[in-house]
Amino acid sequence: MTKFLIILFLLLPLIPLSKWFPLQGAVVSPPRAVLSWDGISHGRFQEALEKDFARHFGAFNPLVMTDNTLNLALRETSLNKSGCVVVARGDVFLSPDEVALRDQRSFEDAAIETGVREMAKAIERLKSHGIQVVVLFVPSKLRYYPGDIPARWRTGAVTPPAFEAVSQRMLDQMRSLRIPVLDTRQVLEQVERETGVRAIPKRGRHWSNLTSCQILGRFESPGFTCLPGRNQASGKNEQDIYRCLNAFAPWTAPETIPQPTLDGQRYGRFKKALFVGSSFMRELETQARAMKLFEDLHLYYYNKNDYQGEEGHPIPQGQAWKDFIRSRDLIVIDLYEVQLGLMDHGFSVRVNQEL
Amino acid sequence: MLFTSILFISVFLPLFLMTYYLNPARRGNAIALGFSLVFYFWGAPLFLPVVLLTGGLNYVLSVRLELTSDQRMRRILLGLGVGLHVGVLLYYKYLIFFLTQALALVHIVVPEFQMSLPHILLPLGVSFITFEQISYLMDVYRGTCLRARKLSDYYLFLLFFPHSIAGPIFRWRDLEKQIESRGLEDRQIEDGFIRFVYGLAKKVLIANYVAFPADQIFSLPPGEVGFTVAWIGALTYTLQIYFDFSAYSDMAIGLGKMVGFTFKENFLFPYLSRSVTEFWQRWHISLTSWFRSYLYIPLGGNRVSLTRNYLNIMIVFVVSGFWHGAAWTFVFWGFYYGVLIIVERLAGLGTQAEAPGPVFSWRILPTMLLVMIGWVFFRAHDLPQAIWFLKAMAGLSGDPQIVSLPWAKILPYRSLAVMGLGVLWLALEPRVYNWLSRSRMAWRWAAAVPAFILALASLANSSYNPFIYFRF
Repeated sequence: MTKFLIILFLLLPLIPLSKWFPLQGAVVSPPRAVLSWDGISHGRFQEALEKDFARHFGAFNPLVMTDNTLNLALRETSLNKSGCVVVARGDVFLSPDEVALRDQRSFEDAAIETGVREMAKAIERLKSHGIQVVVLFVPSKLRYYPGDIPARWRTGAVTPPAFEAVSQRMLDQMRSLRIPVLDTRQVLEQVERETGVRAIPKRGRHWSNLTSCQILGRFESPGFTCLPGRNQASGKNEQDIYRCLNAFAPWTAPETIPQPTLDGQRYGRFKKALFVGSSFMRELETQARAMKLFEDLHLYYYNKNDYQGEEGHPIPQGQAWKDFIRSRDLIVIDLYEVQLGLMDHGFSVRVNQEL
Repeated sequence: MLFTSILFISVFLPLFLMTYYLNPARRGNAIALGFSLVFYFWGAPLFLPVVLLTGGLNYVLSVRLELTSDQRMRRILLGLGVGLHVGVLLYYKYLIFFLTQALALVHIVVPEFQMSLPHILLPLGVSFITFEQISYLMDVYRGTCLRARKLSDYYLFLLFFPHSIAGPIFRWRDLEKQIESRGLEDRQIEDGFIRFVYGLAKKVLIANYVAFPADQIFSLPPGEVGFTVAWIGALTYTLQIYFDFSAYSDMAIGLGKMVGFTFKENFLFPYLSRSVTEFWQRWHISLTSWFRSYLYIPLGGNRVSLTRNYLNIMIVFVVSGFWHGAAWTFVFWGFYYGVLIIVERLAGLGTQAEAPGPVFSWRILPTMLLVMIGWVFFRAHDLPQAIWFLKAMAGLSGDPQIVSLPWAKILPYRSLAVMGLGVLWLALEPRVYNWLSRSRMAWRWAAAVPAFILALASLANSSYNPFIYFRF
């Protein structure tokens, strides 16, 4: 009897419970185990099969949620393997952002100067094709609300001036080279002044829909208005970090924040736009689509994949890429503060080399 | 396949146990060997033929040893066997190290000299298997045990999956009779399962969490490891290595028990030792006793002059250090213990591990301190790192004001809580063992069930790393 009780007990994790406990967030599936002698002899098949099984066994989801709940109960944080989510006073941060900020200490002036000059040259080239370019300076949530960072998460490196100096030097140089840069911190401040609520929601990594809307207004036609509407439950995108906590927690009710009022009119100062950059550009893209700002809008996510709404595919090459770029009348590029080292993800270099 | 993988826990192990329990006892060894071959093949498919071949040769040598009374021939046979196994170990584990050292020397004379090093994968459990092969042959040579009657029995001794990849180091004479016949009672099976879960919990719920700060701290640059950070690093690594390694032994012992084997204890509360001498009687016991039987005694042990005896001690510890890894840090770690043991002998401070359990004494603390210093050499990437790390522990280097990682990253609350629990656990472990072996079934299961679920939860979460955006 004991023997079979033990066997049954060992089999418990295989009970298919996951469908009742869906997990939030996206995961990159590990490569499928392909049965071949080469794969077996080098252990790749076994490794892939183990990883696959470790991710898909029956009770996987509730077990993940159990562990996250314990994490939250013990230290108010939830650790993902690399995307560490930090929860502090109801606010959330991604710890890799913090690490990236720390790494900026080694981001040298020479690198800034080279990157900015490359960008200025590219913008001139694009202008010669009749393309308007806007560069957005995007602050990190961590830096924008430094007071919210719990003491245990602070280091000397993420507090000014060491870190601020890098961003400031870059902005100064961009202005000196007449790069049309929009420091979105000003927009964020304005949103907060006007609405009294945060421009970056407590549970989100990115700016709110209202803030996105206001930023879009800065380079749309003068008649464009973006007004704060009534307070509503925040959208999924505005509580994205929180969803990734994946815990059995009672504190996951959505935050109530004002959503922008959309009049459904097409403005049309620009017809064909391209956004290049990080997930902040994804937020702008979603908002721009909701507002029907452009007839044709593409997002070059990290300048690697081309998204036109939901589906993405690798960005075109050669003549197709040139034709596409020349067809734009607006290009918006972001410079995300925690990724300054990446500059514009190689977009300017490509423009200078190929266009 | 690690014991902590879900595939092992919920597929391999139940399948093995089901097959084992549903078949008559006479098929037990064949089933255990079959599953062990699958287990080893899963982890090191290309090395399995090497183990089978060297194991087969060792078996043939042992048969020849039994049949030969000519001492010269017996010595030749033994030399052949030991040479073969040491050769295998040298090739797979140490060749790259020796070539790197040689290359560094050549570079001093000919700086432009280039040579690409061969790519040699370290086979699973090669150090353990090699030592088991040597001990078997030496025991047969010495006549302290009879050779295995069947090659399959010998293969089971070598490859039995609970111990094949991380020990304990078995000796044929300890398992010989159990392989021949063994009983299997419900209480023993249950004991084995509880011990397995106990080990799983130690590894997943303690070792993995204290490993986090240890890894963070040992990867910091020199200037950023101040006094406090260095001590946290040393303490967390001290906890990690014990809870990790002893947990693996717990799981191995538990797995063995579930099919009727009784393995010797490999760790007996080593951090409660009153001297370094006692520490080595309680830490990785199967290795220590191997070195005593097959290196220290053949070198003359303590039946030689005092100077020679100290030299023997030093040789044993330096070789033992090198056995742990092909790097100078391990060699120095062994040397460090050699020196400490000799000093203890000279000062008459060495204590013996006493049955039934450890004796609480103030001397535990200084011993722990010496052990922690030793672990710094063991964990450091190289000797310079070990030295600056120890200087930071002494308050002689590192700026405590400059920490590039936030404290939450260095020591998350969960790791902090586990660190406290780990220290408490160390102090109470003899009582916990006692309780586990004596308490009523219901209590044992009441402890095992949540520990099992929490361990599985932690394992599951460690493989889940979602991104925020769904489409990207």
